[in-house]
Amino acid sequence: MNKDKQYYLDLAERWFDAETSEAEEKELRRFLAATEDPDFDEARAALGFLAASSLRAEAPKSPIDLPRQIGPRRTAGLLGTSATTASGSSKRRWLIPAVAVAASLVLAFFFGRMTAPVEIVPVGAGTCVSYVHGVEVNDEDFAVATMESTLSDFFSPAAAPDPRTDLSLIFNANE
Amino acid sequence: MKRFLLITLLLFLPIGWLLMAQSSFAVKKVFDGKVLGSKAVVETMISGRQLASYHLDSFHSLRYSAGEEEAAVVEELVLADATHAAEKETVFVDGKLTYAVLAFQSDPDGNEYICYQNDGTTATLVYMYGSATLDELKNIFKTR
Repeated sequence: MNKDKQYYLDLAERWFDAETSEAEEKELRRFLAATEDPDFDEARAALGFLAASSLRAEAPKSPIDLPRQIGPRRTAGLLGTSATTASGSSKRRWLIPAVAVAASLVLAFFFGRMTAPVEIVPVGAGTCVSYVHGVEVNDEDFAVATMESTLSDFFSPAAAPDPRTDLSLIFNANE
Repeated sequence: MKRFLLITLLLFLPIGWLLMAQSSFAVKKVFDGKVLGSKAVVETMISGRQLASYHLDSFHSLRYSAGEEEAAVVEELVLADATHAAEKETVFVDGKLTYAVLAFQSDPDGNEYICYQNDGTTATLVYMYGSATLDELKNIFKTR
């Protein structure tokens, strides 16, 4: 009997992992409809009520001599079943989607970073244009001159901050 | 279960990607025209061979008269981006940002730069992308 019980425990776990064939699922349903073993409470909660209602009239074809105890007690048991299981498969069912979500976010992060640069610049390759107060100035020389003037303002020694000046102000404050 | 895994991945991949797309520079709003509005702006956009000698791939600048309200908004956006800059140089005068050069290394092939300057009359905001380093840009433009 214990060996048979282990067989159905494994079968129930495989059902939760969606690894059972249709024939195996039917076999599991028949077993759950016929047993009230508390180790199968979770599987019975997911399948057992359906198994009891759809297979009540159908005689089990399994050669195993199973006790038949169909009645109000099993129905009450089906409705009041807890969600825990000795094998921990319910915990694993939540872990897999969580890992899938995390993996997809990580993939999206790295893939997004690969395509991230230059998203600010809405220009196509080979563009060289200026807009002065909304009016297009399609003059390359003007655009380049503007660019050079702008960057000179930023990177010339007069524009850049000089920490030596700040330090001299601090240390020579009393002079 | 395998199908469930695949569906979950396909569902969350675009969501994650969308999240990443939203996390671009804060100053992008200014370049998108959402801050300066109808203000008189001189906008310059260059991408390509004209920038090759500067080791840049793209350049986008906005120059406008520096009203206090816009200055405060743009300053806030620049400082928000400054928090994750790899290198930064900033100058504050009387508590206001007058100069900022921010460098970001977004990928192995190039660097992104955000530059901001406000002398009280005119403000300039620049975005650049290219392989040039900050020191190279300083060397190129220091004598111009």
